[in-house]
Amino acid sequence: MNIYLVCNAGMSTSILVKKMQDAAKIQQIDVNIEAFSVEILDEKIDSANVILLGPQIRHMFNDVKKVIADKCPVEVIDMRDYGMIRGDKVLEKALNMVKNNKGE
Amino acid sequence: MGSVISSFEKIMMPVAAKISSNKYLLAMRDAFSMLLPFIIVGSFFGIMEWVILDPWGTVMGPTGLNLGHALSGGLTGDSYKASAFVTAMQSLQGLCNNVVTVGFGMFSFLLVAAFSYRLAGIWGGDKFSTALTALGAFIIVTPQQIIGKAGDKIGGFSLDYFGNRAVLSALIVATVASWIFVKLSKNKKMCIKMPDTVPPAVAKSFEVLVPVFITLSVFTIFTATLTWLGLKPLNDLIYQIIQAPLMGFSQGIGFSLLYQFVVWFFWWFGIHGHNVTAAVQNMVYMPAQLANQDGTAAYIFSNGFFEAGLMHIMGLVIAIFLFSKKESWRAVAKLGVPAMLFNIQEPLAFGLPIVLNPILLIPYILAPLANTVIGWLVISGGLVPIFRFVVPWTMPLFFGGMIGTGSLAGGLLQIVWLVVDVIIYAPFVIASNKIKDGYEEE
Repeated sequence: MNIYLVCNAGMSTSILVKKMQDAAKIQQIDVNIEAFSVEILDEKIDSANVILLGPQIRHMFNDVKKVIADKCPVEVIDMRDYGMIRGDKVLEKALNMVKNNKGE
Repeated sequence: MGSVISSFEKIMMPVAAKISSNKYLLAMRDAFSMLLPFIIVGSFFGIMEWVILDPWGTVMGPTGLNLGHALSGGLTGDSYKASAFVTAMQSLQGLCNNVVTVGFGMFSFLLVAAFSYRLAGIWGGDKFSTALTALGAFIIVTPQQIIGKAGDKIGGFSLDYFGNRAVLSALIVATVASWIFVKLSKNKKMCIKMPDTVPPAVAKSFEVLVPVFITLSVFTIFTATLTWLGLKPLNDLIYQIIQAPLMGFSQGIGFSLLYQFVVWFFWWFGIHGHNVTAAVQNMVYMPAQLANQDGTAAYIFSNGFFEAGLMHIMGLVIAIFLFSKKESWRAVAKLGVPAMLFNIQEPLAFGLPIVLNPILLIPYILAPLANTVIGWLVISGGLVPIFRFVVPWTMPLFFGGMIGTGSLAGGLLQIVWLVVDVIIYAPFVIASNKIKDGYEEE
């Protein structure tokens, strides 16, 4: 499963990615988590299972949604979870989004 | 206060969305970021050339570390100047300068290619042929002769037309050429159809033949018209009429403060302020940086100047460690330090949070404004050199300023900024000790 985190330059989300990977390892979940800049989203979109947006570019949400075009679920990461780098919570959210998406 | 903030946010979110989802501005931003590696590599070689290898520079020269004295076998003055060591250093400098030319001297040339490539992407044309056609158009509007010392004309391009002075004309030519080319090449009547037996690669090149012909002809006629009217080449016209006044205006302290205010005000709403204002940055502060690096001008306000000021949130971190009695704040500050060392503020911005936090609004905007004024005073007063070299914005404070200015004074400026920032943040951190945050649930 591919979980992608998107922000302006992919710098600050990469910190969160590290924590999410740690959380996944503890829970023994096999996922691939990556962070990159919003500019290369269109190249990555086809392999994505879920996309999460950094809150600092939440104003680009509608635009990102258009690019994704229902290929996978997308949401903005909660500001507090993002700031506190709560990898486990964000991972849980991502997994739930995938589950709900399959349920439909 | 809460309702004022939410109604403000209602206004600012769509504005930010409009600006950063504008396809044209997005393509421009992407084009600039495509060129960033070349600028940083160019800067690296620039530092080699002017700081390290220069026989009279910071490392080798007698006014600096004076390493050249020892390396040349104890020579000074004229005998140093004539020594084989100096000759060797100068030829190495020349080599380094070849690399600097790629990122700086030819910046606008590369920009035409990168921007038209991205424009073709958003307008739905073939990216690579659009980029090539736009480069062709740019070469057509550029004078192809240089006046020699004796007044004779020599075939060749002057780097003046490809460097920082040409940023705006590069953007304009790339836009017009890409637009014409993409429009024409999408028109089926313009395509020369080859029989099926012709190899696809050959057929493809014939398909764009007419659009290329028309696009380049338009630019040729335009250039000819300028010549007939006795006007200067397009590059010079655009520079004199638009770019030069724009540069002058943007170098004013007023405009620079306004720019900083907008950036950090957006950030306070949790919206990426630098993303929203990228167009301003690319049009004025990037050319300023390029000119500084080239040595053709000395602009105080440049990309490097503002990026060096990203560290002001470190002032908040220190103020929290010194004065805050809030466990939650101290915990977030600890969590945010490693990222903040590299000028990444998001954990602090969203963790404390700074975002939408009334008590931190004033210092969060005041600190960068104060830094801007201080920087402006000390650089215009000659105490600190201009920010000449491009450093990745993630370079830790002190080192960023030192490398960027090529002088210890630049690093010290960031330390002074830090002290001032701590003083600005401190009263608000102390005041917040008495306020209980609504969201302190843990």
